[in-house]
Amino acid sequence: MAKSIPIGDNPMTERFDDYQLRLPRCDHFVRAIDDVNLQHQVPLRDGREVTLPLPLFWFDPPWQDAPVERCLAFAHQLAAAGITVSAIGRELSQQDDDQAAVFFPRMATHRCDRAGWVAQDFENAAIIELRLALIRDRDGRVAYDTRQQLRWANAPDAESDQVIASRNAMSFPPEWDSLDDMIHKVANLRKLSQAAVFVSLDAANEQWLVPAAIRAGVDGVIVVYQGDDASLIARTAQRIHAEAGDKPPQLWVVSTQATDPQTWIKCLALGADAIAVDAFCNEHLFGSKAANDSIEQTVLRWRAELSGYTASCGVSQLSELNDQHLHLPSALQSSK
Amino acid sequence: MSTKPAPEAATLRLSLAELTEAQLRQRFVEIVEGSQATLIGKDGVLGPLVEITGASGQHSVLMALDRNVRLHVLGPLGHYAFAYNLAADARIDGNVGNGVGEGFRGGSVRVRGDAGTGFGVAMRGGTLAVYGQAGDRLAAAMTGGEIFARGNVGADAGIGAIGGTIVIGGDAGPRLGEPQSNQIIFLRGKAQSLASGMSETPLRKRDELRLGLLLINASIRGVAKEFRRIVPTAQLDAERSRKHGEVDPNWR
Repeated sequence: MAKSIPIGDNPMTERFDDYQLRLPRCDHFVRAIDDVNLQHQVPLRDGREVTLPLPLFWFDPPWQDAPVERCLAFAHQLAAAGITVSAIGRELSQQDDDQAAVFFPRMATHRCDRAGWVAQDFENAAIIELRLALIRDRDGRVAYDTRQQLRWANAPDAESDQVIASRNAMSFPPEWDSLDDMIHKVANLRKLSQAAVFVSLDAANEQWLVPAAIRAGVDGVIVVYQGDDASLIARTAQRIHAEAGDKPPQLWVVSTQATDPQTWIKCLALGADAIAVDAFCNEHLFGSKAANDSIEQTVLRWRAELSGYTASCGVSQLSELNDQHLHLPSALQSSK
Repeated sequence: MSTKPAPEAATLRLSLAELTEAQLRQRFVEIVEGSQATLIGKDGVLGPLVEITGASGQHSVLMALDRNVRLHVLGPLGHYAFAYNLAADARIDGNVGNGVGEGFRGGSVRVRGDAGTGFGVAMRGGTLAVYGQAGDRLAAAMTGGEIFARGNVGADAGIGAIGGTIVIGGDAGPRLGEPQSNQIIFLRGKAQSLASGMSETPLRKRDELRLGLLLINASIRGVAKEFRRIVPTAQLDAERSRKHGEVDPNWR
């Protein structure tokens, strides 16, 4: 059997393809697992739980790039298929604020400058994402484009010729004096909403934002990984467990490299609790896949693959996956 | 000899130290719905007056109030007080913390003390006033409403704003204003510096009238003529390039 080094301890870059899902030991009779539970429980700090059908979510939908009716229908389809969708009311409805109630289990992004946020979002979201992650636009800027602002301003798409310049997004809440103020913001969100409170951040800012988020008592952190170093997920998970002790917050992962069920299983084994499926969702909303595969069929196939890989690792729950279910082939290790 | 009218007696007294946020909100609902003493003032319907005791710097209190109730808070409040307020009118006798009036939607809050960082952050409507000093990033990401600071304000006031009105009775810190906005800033004192792309200009007649009304409404003593306007340079250039001004002496 290939000898493994502890996951995350390898100082070298490890791509997802470098890892292999380990098959169970074949030294005694084991009944095959044919019923895998793919549901994902998000335990909240107050003892409640949010149950999600799948550990998959759409982190940063570019809602402004499609008509609002199409966005709403697509979001409903995804939610029905079990994917947690991120949206604030204004992105999926052009109604007045009071009627801009977009339900289904969804995540709502509370940006530093509260762009697009309305009070109803506190009531209708299952998860509130306090966004400290910096997302670059097509021009490489951390900014909001014209159409995004029009959507948030509740202006009809027909007015998109109106001159609204793109503007820089705030990268830090303007009312905070320091990261220590995160605890007050999280408490504030908890008073205004029953939702789980997550903080999103970039892996590059992990070393100070993860401890601050844990001190603030968040229910989860969403980490955006820019490169293809899979072992970073394990290091983040280790940091979370080291800082938080016996009640660690969730680790949700956004990685452009995690695009198929086998890789998602590897992410879960590395310590992630849920994985972003933005590439698929974006392509379905705007790209060539929109006319071909149906979402339901695709998600059914994902369910089958997730179940298959999980069972093949010898466990019946996604939450049972851990780094013991992965190994780096010895040839790869010796080459590093 | 003129006699000063006696202060209005509060309908009720509630304590922040004894009631939870949810209990307070429930009491406001009951008070407003059961109120027989609703006053009709010249500005419209005034809600019942409630005195809030036990204020000692609590964070995230009196938020998202959607009832037409008038509050007199006796003491300081902490961070995020009166966030997402929709209808309440409040006077606070004391200082307040950071992010007070976040996402403010309507009603009014007048702080008879100092305010911390980000007073009125992302406010969308209504009126906020601080009668002392305000910290950094006053009215950051503001999209509407009016915000007054009688004293000095810190750095980056108005940053990220899209609209709304800021009135600063004292001095402003560095980088005042947001060039990518339709925000109007009236400044009486001096700004340490303006944000890049912002310019200072005298008030127009229409601004004097508007500011005069705003000052009266906010119960701030002062003459509109003492203020200057801080506007995006591009907006100022556009105003100046118009063939005729707002008051055209050659209109005949």
